[in-house]
Amino acid sequence: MTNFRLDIKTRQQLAAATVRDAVIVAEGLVYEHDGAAAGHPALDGVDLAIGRGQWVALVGRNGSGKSTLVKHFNALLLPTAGRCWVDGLSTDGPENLWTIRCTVGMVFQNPDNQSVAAVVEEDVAFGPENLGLAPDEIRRRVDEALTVTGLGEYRHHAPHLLSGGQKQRLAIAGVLAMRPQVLVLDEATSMLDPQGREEVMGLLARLHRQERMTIVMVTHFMAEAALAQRVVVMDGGRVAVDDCPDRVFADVLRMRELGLAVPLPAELAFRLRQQGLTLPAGVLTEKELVGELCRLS
Amino acid sequence: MPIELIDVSYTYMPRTPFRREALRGISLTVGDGEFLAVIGRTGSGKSSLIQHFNGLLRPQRGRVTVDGVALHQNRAIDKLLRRKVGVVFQYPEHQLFAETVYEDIAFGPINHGLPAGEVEQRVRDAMRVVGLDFGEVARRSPFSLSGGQMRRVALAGVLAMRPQYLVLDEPSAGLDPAGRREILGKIYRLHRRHRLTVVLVTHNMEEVAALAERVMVMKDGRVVSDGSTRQVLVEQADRLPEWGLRPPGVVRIAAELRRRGWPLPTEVMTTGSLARAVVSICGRTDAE
Ligand SMILES: Nc1ncnc2c1ncn2[C@@H]1O[C@H](COP(=O)(O)OP(=O)(O)OP(=O)(O)O)[C@@H](O)[C@H]1O
Ligand SMILES: [Mg+2]
Repeated sequence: MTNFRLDIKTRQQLAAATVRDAVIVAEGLVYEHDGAAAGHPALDGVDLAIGRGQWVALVGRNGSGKSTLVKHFNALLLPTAGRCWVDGLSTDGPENLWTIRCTVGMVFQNPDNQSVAAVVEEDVAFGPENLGLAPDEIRRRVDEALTVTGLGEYRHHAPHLLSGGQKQRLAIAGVLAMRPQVLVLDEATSMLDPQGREEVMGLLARLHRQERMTIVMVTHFMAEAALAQRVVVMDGGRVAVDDCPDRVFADVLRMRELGLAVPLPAELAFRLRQQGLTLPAGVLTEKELVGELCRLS
Repeated sequence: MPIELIDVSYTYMPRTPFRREALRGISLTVGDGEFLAVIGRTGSGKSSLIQHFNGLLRPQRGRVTVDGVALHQNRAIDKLLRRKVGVVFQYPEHQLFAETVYEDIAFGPINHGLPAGEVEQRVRDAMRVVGLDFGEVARRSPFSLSGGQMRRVALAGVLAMRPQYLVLDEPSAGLDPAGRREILGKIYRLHRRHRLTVVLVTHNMEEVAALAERVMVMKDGRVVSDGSTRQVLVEQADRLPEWGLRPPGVVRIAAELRRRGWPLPTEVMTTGSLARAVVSICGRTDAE
């Protein structure tokens, strides 16, 4: 996978950048699903601040609370206890709902269920039309969203004939046309083939770098998580680990305990170190691994 | 006995402007006790192919036999053959329907007329394989589960039927990495111990390298390559991009090291074997 590694290197820098300008803040967030076993809340006290312009990967074992958490970010769910703020607005104020839904755009797993129209550009226009915008403003937004997502040449195609990667880029285009500040993706690449995943990850990197978009992505692909600036690991409805990828993935045993794995090059480096080779910590990519190995011999 | 496809073709929406040829004259045999991986880009025909294995799609040309008996002769035979071939589809949450996880997984065994005790045993065993806690989950609604938990229920439902052939379409999508490794590991052990035949459709080349004995590559509705895992993933590594695929990470790293003069053997396909080979080479250079 292409490598867009980060600029923020230490936990302190990360924390400072976050606190200075948080766009999403969760404070003591607790959520109990209706009918779920008492004493096992899906979220069990989450404190988390996501900085403006940050690219955060949210990972964790099945049932750890990732989807429940991100649904709080656009008020699809409201906290049982604690609070969630989006761009300074509390999600439990009904008067804030509209603004919050415009601030945070969501993309989900299944690319087949997300398009609503017969033609790609109509699909992208659906959201802005519902905002009641003027036709030329809608036109402008649709064009822009199609350009950013690289779907310009498909504007007159039928959505169901697009490839998986294109369908997910279309879903993202539809969200971008709403001009959100934050893009939340819940396993948006999990049904795609590697090429489709790479398309989507490339698009996220571009949105992050060029448009300064805040990105929160839930994923089970550790190689994808390694591309983010920050990795938050959930476990049992709480934040278990929160740090930059090279440090998170340096602790192979801890990640296994948390139901996860580390990217392949990190796993190899770990095994080689166990067998006595001296490799530095923080090896994450194939290139870094090959480089370090060649330095050894 | 095998599953056999003889010159099977299938076109979606034939005689319309939207017609799509999904399978073009496929002949293949899934041997008894094999672990076969089917790989290929999205849209290459993999899912259409496996829907022929249990008669869910009826070939427009050609025929399908399971254990020597042709599908689509009559209902009774199809029903019997379907029991032998368990398929977990790509969006398994669409397969869920019952009010509790228990009922969902028990549906197949009950339908087969098994006694209640045996049904419960099978449900418990299947839940163990997929890593779901019986006490915690069995009485819950499957629709109140997380995405990965639902996928595990759907998989358990198929396992509880104890099929002779297990066909998995992207089984690890949505599973956490540890769960993925554990569940596939257990399925692999069922394959080794009980000669369970497994057909694994996946994009995860690491899984293919670690588990499969044979690999079939599909492109545009045709089988473009079929051979041992090493033949397809290592010897034909250069051709994979033509088929829209990439070699597994281990094979890529090994190739890069080889290019830089490391004398790595070509068998290297898994993390373990690459680590061993690297250590032995480094040990040798240390000794010099
Ligand atoms: N609608 C619901 N009703 C009751 N409990 C639920 C519901 N949805 C989720 N849960 C439970 O809440 C917990 C957290 O679920 P959540 O979907 O947030 O997990 P997740 O981290 O997204 O998992 P996955 O990786 O499988 O998608 C789990 O124990 C799950 O079973
Ligand atoms: Mg989820």
